[in-house]
Amino acid sequence: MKHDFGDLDVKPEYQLPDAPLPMPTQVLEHAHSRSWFEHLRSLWVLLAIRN
Amino acid sequence: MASAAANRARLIAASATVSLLSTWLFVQFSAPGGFNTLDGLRVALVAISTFWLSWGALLGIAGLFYRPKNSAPLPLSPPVGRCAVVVPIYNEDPVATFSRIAAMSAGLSRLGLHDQFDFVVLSDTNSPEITAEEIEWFDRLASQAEARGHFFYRRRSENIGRKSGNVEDFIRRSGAAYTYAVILDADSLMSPETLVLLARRMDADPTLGLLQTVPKIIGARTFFGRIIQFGASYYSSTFARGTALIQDAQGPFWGHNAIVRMTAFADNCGLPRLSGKPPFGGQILSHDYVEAALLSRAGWKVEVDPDIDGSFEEGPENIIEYAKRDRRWCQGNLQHARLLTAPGLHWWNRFTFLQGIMAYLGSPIWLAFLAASILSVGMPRTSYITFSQQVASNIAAWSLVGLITSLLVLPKFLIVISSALNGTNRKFGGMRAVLASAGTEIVFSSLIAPITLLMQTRSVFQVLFGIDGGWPATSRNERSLTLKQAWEASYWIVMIGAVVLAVTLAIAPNLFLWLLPVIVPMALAPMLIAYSSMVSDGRDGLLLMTAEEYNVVPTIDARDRVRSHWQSA
Repeated sequence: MKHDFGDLDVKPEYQLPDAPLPMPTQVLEHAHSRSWFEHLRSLWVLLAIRN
Repeated sequence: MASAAANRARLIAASATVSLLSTWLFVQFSAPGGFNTLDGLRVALVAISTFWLSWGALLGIAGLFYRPKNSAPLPLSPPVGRCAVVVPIYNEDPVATFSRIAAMSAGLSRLGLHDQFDFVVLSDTNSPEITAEEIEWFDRLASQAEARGHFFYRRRSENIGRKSGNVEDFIRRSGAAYTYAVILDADSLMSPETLVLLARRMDADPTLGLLQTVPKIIGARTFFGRIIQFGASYYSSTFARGTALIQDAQGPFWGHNAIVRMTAFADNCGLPRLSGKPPFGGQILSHDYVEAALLSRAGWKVEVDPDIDGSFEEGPENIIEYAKRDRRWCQGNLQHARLLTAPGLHWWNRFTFLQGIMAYLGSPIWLAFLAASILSVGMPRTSYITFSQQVASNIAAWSLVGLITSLLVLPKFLIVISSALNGTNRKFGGMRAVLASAGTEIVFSSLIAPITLLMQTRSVFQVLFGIDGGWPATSRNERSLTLKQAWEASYWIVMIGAVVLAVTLAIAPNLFLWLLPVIVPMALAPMLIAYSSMVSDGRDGLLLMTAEEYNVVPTIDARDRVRSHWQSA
């Protein structure tokens, strides 16, 4: 939630310099991430086909 | 010095060997009576838990063999890159936080090296009262300091992404104004020489993305706080040296008291929200390990240097505060299970995630072993045991107990010996004071081990089932706990102790003496929690005194003087 601080303002000289630096969001998951259940199901299907 | 890869291989092999030896001893102990179903489980639990126990112990022992790199000391001259000293805060005591900044800033001015450093306070405080105090005290900090124009204050109205989101917001707004950022916590303190050294180290090595220091804990007032403080001051640097021996370019990031290269961090450390719901999905909680892994993935060096002095932080003052922090870390570390297979990570970063996960899963594993051992006695055995088999079984049991005890105590014992030989003990008041403090630390750690084991186990289950921490509220800056507060926090531990006692007496009375070191601390948990939170100034008895207390550290002294001046005004 947003907090309303009323007139609690910071002096202009304390405000951060305006010097943006992009920060791209990193990829940490595989595009087709599968759950443990899905892995188990695939294994079961594989074994069923082989038998 | 051997390469990090060789050291990693040695440490893993040595831990596996100790684990195999422990498992073999356990099998020798159990086999004469014949194996039952639970014994198979116990063997697996022993193998897993002793591997990670050995890993921790051997890391400390390895640290004794660490030798600093033979590089020439860098001169204390202005760094080339501009550096933001970033202090994220969230409902902290402004006087305490800003007095630390004042001390660091005054130190830089004294060295004549303030031009390349700005102090940036990033406030996510959501209490209007504390915000008003922050603004008032920040104005005082910025207007009194000699380095006017080097202080910035930014307040967010929403705590999006918590601390990592706070820092990320700063980089997106102002990151291009700086070459480096020293990331601190609200309770962090660094000597000006260390701030300059960190920036100069980054100047000197353009491939270095992150340099982590090993902060010493200062300012502890309670018995528990002083135990943690002594351990951090006396032992931690040796364990960190062990980490440095195996880090290569994939060292750790502990979230604060470290410097990062701004462009490297910005390019590679924008954290995604993980798919799915918390605890495993959503925002990444233990972001520091992940940021270190992402920098490594991009080819940047991440290093910890255990020999950089002048880096400090404060620690929890009682077991409840410790457990609350541990609950957060537990959830963050278990969430890393989702990232073990993240694309492109160095295998060592994956192993580091696994270490962090096992640091918490270790507790339920030990507890499961304990439970299986009690229940196993009640199960039927098939074989007849001869006298010689019984003797061999007893020898194996005591050998295993000796081995596990050694893993717990030997690294600390060797650090005491090594510190006696290299003169470190003199900084801690001499051999007698060190022996008293180290002995106290070992006895108290052993006493509270069953309590922290249960607290960690509870945390793991709470995380897995999405349950809140459930700790009683303690007010900000509260140190000492009443027996009532301690009881509210630990009555469930007493009850579990009573159940363990009853079950042991009913089905495995011969295990009673073996289990006493576990049951007694459980029964005494409220007393131990309350007693250890009492204010205990070791200065009058030499107990648990640290090098930072025996020897005046100018930055700490400066912080104390600013704080008392402000508080008296």
